Amino acid sequence: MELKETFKPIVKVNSVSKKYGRTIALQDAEMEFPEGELTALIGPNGSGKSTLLKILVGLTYADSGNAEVLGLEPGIQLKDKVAFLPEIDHFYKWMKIEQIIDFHRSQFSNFNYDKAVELTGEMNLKTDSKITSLSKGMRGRLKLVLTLARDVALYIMDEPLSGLDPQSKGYILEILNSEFAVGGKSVILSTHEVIESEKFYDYVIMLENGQVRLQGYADALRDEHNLSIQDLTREVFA
Amino acid sequence: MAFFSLYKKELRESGFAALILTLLTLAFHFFLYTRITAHNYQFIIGSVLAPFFIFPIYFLAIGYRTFSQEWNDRTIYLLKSLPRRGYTIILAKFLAAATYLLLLIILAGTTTWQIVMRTLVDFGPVMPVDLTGTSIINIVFLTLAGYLWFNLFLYFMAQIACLVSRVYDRFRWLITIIVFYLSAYISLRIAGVLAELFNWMPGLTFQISGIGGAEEFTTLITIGSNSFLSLTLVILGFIIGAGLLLEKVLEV
Repeated sequence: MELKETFKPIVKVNSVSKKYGRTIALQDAEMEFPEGELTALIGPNGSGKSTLLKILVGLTYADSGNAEVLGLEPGIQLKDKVAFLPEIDHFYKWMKIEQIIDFHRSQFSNFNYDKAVELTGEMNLKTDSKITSLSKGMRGRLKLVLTLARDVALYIMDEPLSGLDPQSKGYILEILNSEFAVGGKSVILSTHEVIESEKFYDYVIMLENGQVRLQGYADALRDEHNLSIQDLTREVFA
Repeated sequence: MAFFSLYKKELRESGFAALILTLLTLAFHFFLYTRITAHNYQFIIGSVLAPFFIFPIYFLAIGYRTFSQEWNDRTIYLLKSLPRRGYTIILAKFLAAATYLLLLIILAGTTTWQIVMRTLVDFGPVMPVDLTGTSIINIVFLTLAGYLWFNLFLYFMAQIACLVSRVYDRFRWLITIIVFYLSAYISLRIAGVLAELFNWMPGLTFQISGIGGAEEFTTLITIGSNSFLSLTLVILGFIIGAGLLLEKVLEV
């Protein structure tokens, strides 16, 4: 109860609906994400997670309803204040890692070049490697480097662990642990890989068919249902 | 810094096609240069202009490809995540394409000049009229201006057609073709109306003089500066329209 009283939202989603043709991605979705916490957005494929995140960063637009991120509507101004990690690889194939880091430095005012280089080393990536020579796992790590190198109020990550090899997952989880375990940073993480990342969750939102099925603080949910988030996920989406 | 970085990226993106076109143009002109004889010099003089008919096709393709490639490679995610206004991205892409077009024109113009000069030296006058130096500069300027505007229009029409087609999930090629034709029609109509509005502006007069047959002649060509202004405004409209489409309408 004490936690609920201190809940300060950094993102508000008000009755957001979104359709792709006849397919409903989000239907009057209503939720809030707490400030300074790592929120896990969990749901099966097609539950609307990616659509919601894309609406929050202004890559897609809601058909109705609205979203408020850091007190702003999604748009140009917000793009410099939020670091987004998309699920897909969005790199220019002709670039080398150092070129893509330089490109990000030139575009984002809050991009920390030294941190990017440091993280690149920690992720076991070489700055002179070409994007085309990177494996899927390496590209996943590079996306995380580019996201975490930004000094912003909110980090939004869409399936950062999806489809990666165990080694890459290990690197990413290690970095997530060192960056966010202490708390204080606002993170939204959509994922399927609940079992591997559950220990980082402060807050959980479960989404199905474009609507919220369950939400609350991770510890409170575990206590209330006497289940781990992984098991709770299975139960909710059974 | 941010804009220059975008511009540099665009230069690199379309650089390969421009390089291929440059090499083909050089090879073609070199071939013509080495084949000039008393029997074929008039044919050579005609053929030397062929690359200038190819460049608009390149510009048209670049206009379309500049965004379709972003979608195909999914780099549109990165582009749309940048804290940049839509028109800034459009402008960076356009300036990169315009840089290559200008370089191609300068290069092809220089090699064309070399071929024409060699023909003049070896075989005498190749045209029925002998123009003064100023007249030649005026003709080149007018032709170049018209040629540049033509290419700019092609580029933006292809770009806007590509962007509009991306709003829809189906019939993209059909929509591209329809929007391409419609944008040509609408933009030229608007340019016409704008030219009427600005017809109080002074005209630009070019004098063409020389000797044709046995007689000296002088002709004055006057082009209203309002037409240049109206075309510039239409181009600006393309930049702003495409920018708004990219920033406010298109989704990934």
